[in-house]
Amino acid sequence: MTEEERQSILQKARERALHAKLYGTDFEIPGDPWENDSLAKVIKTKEQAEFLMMQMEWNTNKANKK
Amino acid sequence: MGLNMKIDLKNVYNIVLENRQQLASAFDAVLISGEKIRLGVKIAHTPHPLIANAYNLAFGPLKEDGTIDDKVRLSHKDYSKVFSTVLLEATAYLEEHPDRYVGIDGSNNARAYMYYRCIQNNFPYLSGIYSISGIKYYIRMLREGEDGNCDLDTEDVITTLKPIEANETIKADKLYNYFIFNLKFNKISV
Repeated sequence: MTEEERQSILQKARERALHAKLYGTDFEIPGDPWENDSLAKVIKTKEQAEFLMMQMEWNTNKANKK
Repeated sequence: MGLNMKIDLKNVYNIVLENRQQLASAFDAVLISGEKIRLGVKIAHTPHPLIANAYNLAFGPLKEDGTIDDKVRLSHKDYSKVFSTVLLEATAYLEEHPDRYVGIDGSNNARAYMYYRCIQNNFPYLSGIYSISGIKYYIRMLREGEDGNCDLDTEDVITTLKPIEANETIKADKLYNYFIFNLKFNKISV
């Protein structure tokens, strides 16, 4: 990709951003912002978060021993 | 499924609804049947709980209650145009937030593979604009079985991100399940 092409694409993106600022509304897509994220699904409860932390700690300790 | 997508950020659908903070937009995509379907693009208000400055992007058809249905399988007439449109929305967001990443979740193996193939097939184009990294986090635990149990591969628990390189080989069962990208170079004022 040439620098000219790159700048052309970024310019188009800037125009999109400007258009949204000028003409955008309060349009929202409802729902939990992380509802589509698989990690967020896993850590929605305190128990799950604690389990993840335990796994991370266990894995870090294991890596440090190597 | 669009495994042979050719990303072209200049060939995109028109945006029909947009949020002034660029956190949501919608466009009408054409299916193989000729029917049009409204797809929503949503960027999270809050960063990823474990990945600094990464904001999740979700997209898919809008359900009756207005939320995004990211589980439905659609046959798009032009996958390249659909993904290019979503990517341009993300790029516009990143232009306004150059310190941030946008993240896309491969919510299942098939989708993660499709994203990865798309990145690899378009690597010369995409790498000219973005820095792209893949993340594997608790991949075996996340791929929950139908019985509700998680198969945790303790040898594959990796939470660090890795820049994706051209033509890298990675086994399908070790594939990243989350992809983040940001603009590669500093913003140039015009």
